[in-house]
Amino acid sequence: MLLAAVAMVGCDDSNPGVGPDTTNKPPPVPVVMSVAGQGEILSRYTAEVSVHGNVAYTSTWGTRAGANGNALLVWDVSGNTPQLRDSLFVDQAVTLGDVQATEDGKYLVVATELAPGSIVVYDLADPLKPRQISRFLSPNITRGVHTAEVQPVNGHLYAFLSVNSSAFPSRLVIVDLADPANPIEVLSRDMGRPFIHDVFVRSGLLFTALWHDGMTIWDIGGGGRGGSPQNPIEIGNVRTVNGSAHNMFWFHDPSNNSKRYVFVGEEGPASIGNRASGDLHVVDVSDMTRPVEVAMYHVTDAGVHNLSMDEPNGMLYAAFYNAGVRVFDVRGDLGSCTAEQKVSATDSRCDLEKMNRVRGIGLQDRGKPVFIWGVHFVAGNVYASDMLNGLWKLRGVTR
Amino acid sequence: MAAGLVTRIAAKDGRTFNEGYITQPMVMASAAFWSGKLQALAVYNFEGNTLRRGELSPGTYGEGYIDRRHPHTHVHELMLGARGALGKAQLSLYAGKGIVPFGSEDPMMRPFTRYPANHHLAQILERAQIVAAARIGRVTLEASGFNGDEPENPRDWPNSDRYFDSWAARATIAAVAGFEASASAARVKSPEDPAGFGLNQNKWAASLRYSGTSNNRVRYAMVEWAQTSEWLGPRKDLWSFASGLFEGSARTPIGDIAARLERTSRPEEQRDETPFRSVRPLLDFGILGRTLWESVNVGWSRGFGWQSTGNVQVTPFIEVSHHRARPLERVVIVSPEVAFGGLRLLSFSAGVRVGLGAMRGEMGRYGVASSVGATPPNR
Repeated sequence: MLLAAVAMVGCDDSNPGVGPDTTNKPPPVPVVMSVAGQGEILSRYTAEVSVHGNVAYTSTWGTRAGANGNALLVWDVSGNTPQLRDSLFVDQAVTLGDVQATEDGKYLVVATELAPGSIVVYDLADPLKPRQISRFLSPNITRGVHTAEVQPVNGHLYAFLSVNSSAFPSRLVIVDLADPANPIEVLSRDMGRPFIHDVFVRSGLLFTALWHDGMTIWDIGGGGRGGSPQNPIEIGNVRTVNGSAHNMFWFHDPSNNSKRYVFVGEEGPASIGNRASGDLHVVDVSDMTRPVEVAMYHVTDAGVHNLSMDEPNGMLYAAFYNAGVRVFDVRGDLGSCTAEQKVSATDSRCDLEKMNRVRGIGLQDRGKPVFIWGVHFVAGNVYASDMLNGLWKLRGVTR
Repeated sequence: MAAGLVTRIAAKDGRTFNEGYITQPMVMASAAFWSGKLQALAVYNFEGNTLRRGELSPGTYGEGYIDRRHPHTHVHELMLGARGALGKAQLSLYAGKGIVPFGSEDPMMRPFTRYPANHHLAQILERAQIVAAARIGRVTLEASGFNGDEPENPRDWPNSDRYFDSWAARATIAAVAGFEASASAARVKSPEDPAGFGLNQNKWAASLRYSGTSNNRVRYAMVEWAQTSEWLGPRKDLWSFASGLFEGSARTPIGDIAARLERTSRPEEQRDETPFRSVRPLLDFGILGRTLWESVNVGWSRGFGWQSTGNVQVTPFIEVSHHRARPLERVVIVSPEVAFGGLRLLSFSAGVRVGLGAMRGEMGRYGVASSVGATPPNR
């Protein structure tokens, strides 16, 4: 029964949904995404972006011209061109690698990397003026928090911290944010070879990107196995091709209630700012106990990074570093394709490009190098954080 | 032996550093048994005590240090081996921790006290290994299986789960008197991530070396080329780093004059909270661009020896260098400017090397490989 319950979580899509109808039609050509405006930042390297309403928050990374990535930038994005409204600085931080506003827009969580690792929690009562209400430190995260995901589990807010280090095994640390002013650590568990890089949390399931250990799915309250954030229980694992599992997005398609696919980003080696590597992988989680990779997308000399979705339209947005932004139509069956649409004669995975699933390409027409770290789709617009140039606002791709 | 030196490095339109060190402090020992058929070699290095912050050295990198030369491990070398013959071939087999048969000789044994930038391109040091060597006439072949992981700190030992995951081979020919040519190749698994998941390296090196005798004005000269390409999984030749280096020394009435010209490319890496340390392993196995380092170095030294007091050798020296760093890619995320405030640097070092007792003439060649060619008379 438990297995059946778990399998059902991702298996309610007997209807494959409405996929791209390419029969008797010329294959769709990817559009060049329209750029609404740019908020230029050249003083620091921009990292992640998170948007709530008309306010965007970008984090900063590394050191640029002597300036550390210790700044959190606050943008008014109500117009076409993002307007910088505020800059907050985090003490004793070299990199703010991750930033995320909570779904309800009440709080903002920022991860600090390199010692001392921490998360900083801000109150967003005034979205343009975040107010720090706590900073969580723990011996388990001292080396640095690489990414932090903030999501509710059964109505209870948690932060999921991915801690990477050579000094001790990489680990997942979960922090109870029910009272954001007083974060409480509820779990510290070593995992990942050699990294746990990121997590995705939805419907009481936790997806962990464990680099060469692939993607593992855990029950933390929605999987029917008795798991919780205090005690995640493993459901299934898949080793995606090439390893280096970096981040994920579990697609819930409202058009047909399909929850069949998880998109996994692979972060291959990169010469940051110049070129990257790593494919987008599509994992079929119809049976959560036995997820299987069914499709992929590759760009030569470029690599995928963070993901966002326009779920009602079935469009996946992927930051692709030096290749800008790529948009995919991911509605329907991604695991069935013709022989010509497979990766190769010896690789049975489907190739999203050969399946004409690429719908848009962004920021390759700017006449200058870009290096897109993150994307966030909100209300018809896509916000792309560019390590080299700041924050871009683009128009979303319509079906 | 040990060297005390003070260094001043000034960047054009940038910062100035004045530092002093006890560098290369070590005790060497060797023993031979059964008419030399069995030999033990040991070097204990104290840099872990005297050089923990690293030695300021523009362009050098490796083992978590950048623009500072890292301290070596305490047990720099501990090798035990045997030699014999089979027909015309002289054979040897050594095992222990030591210098891998790849590239050129340990810079510690060469004319300059300060290391070149290509140390991690042209040498592989301090690995647990088994080295087999065969010498037939003027040709010597060496091969080693060793652990790929580089030391993580001066107290570190090779990781037992990494033994023999890497290999190197070197061929050397002693062409004519004083000259030898060598070529070597190595495949090193994940040197910078001790867990073994990091970038792998394919390495090549070639050199031509001249070693004079005490009657020659030119005591030593070497020209070398070295290249390292990094790869991971199916992604071959992600990027490569290369080096060309010439150095030599000549004896003059006022002392030994040495010169070194170097052109070496290196990765830029995410730096730690300090500007001279890089994060290990590299986060997400990414680099932050590549830079090219060009340097011109000249040095003077003059040795004084007192055989009557237990063979004490005292060698004052002066070394002057000009370094220039240039980006090799469109974007170099973290420029060396972070550390120095400029990309053109002038450095001046002065100090004295002190040796007591019998010094070894070379390091890194074991058994029948050790006697190929003459040894550099730099110390």
